[in-house]
Amino acid sequence: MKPKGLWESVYYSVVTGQTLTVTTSRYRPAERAHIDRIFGAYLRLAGMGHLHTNLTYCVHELVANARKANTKRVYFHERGLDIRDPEQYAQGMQGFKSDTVADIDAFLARQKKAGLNVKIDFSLLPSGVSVMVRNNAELTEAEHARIRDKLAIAARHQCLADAFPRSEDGLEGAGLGIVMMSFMLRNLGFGTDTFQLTSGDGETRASLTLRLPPERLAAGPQGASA
Amino acid sequence: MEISIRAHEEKHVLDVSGELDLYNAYRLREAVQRLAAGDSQGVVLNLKGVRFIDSSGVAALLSINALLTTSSRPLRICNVSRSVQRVFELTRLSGFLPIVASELDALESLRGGPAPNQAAS
Repeated sequence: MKPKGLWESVYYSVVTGQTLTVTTSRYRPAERAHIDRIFGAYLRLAGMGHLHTNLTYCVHELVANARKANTKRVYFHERGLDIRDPEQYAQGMQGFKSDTVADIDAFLARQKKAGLNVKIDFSLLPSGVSVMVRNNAELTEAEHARIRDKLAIAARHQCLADAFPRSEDGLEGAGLGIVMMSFMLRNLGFGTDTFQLTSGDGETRASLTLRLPPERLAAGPQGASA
Repeated sequence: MEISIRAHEEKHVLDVSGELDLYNAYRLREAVQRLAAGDSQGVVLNLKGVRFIDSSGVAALLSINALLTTSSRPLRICNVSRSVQRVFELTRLSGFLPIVASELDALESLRGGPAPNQAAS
């Protein structure tokens, strides 16, 4: 029988061992709330429901990054700039944030028309939950290097306030999302291999493999708080 | 996101509501920059209506904190929702940003009352 509602879709995917995929191009509050509900259902099934409020932030940052990467592709294409050329990249990024923020709904509509989207894959693991966020544009080497830098900054600091001055990025904006996510995952007790990023075959894949040791699962909200 | 500004003695209270995210965090930063350029003697950010914050919103708060510290004008942040507070806790910002419970506490603190429990960066 074909599933009808959100909960049925989650349970159908889980019992049939399938991945549940949600596709969005806009990711505005209504879509975010929908994805939050699905994510919450998976976390509860994995015994991590008490971490929903904390982990949903990480999923949001990954989807927002993926959507922003798609917006960037539209912006560069419309201006005839080659995103892979370092000089043209720097040139395009000068106005990217202010131009797109001011007119984001129009950009989101154009990236949908261009076929650029974000897919969020949810899977229940034997001891946790996997969330993969995919957008159908490959990272440039410069973008990949910037993300690696952010992860290194997060690894070197214990406090976001200390990391903030070093993670500010004149081209990309504050560039704080990946750093914040790394802090949050670490402070919730997740290992350094929880977040993985790959790019190729026409897409970028950011994944969270959320597994907690049994003592952290049993500890509930207090135990899960760092 | 909506921002409304109230003058209180020589300080200013900014009531912020909606989503503090990539698409509007810069507006809050600009509003505080304008106050800092004027004669405001202190700023209270009342986040009572903020239910969602992302990294751009957090970056805006950190920038505002740095700006006001540099210009020797006190900042207080009050009425932080549970979900926003959780973001601050997990990033170890709750002891860094000058967060107090209520607007009353914020104004009292700016008048010389007890300062928020802040850790040095």
